[in-house]
Amino acid sequence: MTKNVLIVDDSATMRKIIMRGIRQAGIDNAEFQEAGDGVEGLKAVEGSTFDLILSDVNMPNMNGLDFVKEVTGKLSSPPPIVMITTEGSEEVINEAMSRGAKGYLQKPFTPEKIQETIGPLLS
Amino acid sequence: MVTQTQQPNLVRALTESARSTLETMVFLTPSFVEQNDAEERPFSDGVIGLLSFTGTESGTLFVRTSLATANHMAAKMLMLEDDEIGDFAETADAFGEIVNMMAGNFKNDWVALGNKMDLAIPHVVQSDNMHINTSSLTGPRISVHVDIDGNYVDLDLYFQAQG
Repeated sequence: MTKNVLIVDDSATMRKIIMRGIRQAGIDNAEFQEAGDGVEGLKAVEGSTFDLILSDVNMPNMNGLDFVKEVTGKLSSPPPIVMITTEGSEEVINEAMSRGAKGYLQKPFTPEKIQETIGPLLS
Repeated sequence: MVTQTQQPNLVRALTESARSTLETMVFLTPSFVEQNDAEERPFSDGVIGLLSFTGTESGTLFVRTSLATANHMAAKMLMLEDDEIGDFAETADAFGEIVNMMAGNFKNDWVALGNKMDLAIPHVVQSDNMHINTSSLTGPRISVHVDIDGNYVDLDLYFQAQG
């Protein structure tokens, strides 16, 4: 069964790497939609239904923390949101979790780490 | 006069950040990564990624390399051949993400020491004739030199002097 995944990251390179990493992790039932920041991400969420959202933290226009807050506030049953970030500090992670994120993946990451973090959410 | 910081844990944090980013995300194994004891060198050409930060201390991380090496790094990240990289925008996007990861991983060690650090968005510029004025960044400097098969990647983390 196909899973719809939204990737929100201001780097097109990173979006490609995340998609490749998910496939390399053996998750081959994912279909991807991309957004370049939180504002674009919100538009995507309003127009489609997703099984999982992966979001960067540090983005222009609307950062990942505000994006999580908006999504969890707008949707009665929001999909799991996983933060993909270089920032592994407890403060940022706790802030993301308190706003509704279900997990985080720290860059740089390996396919094994993707499988461990994202696999259970898409199974 | 910019002085090199003598805090070995911060040098190690930047060194390990550079190494892990290159090995894990760029699939390049550096020949060596070491503290750069040389005097600061002038910026003149190539590609420079800048990422400023505020917090307990303010400053900027500069990551410099040649255009050819930046293109190669972008291609490796995307699993492409060097000549398949479309234009500089693609190189800049990839290089900016490399700078972001290097700064972010350094931040993790910095914060673990009880500090605060807020990162800005990375910017990448390329020119054959460029000068970046670092005269306002007069605090300690951490410099790390990375060699990848004879090609350089230099990281310079400048702190702004306090008070």
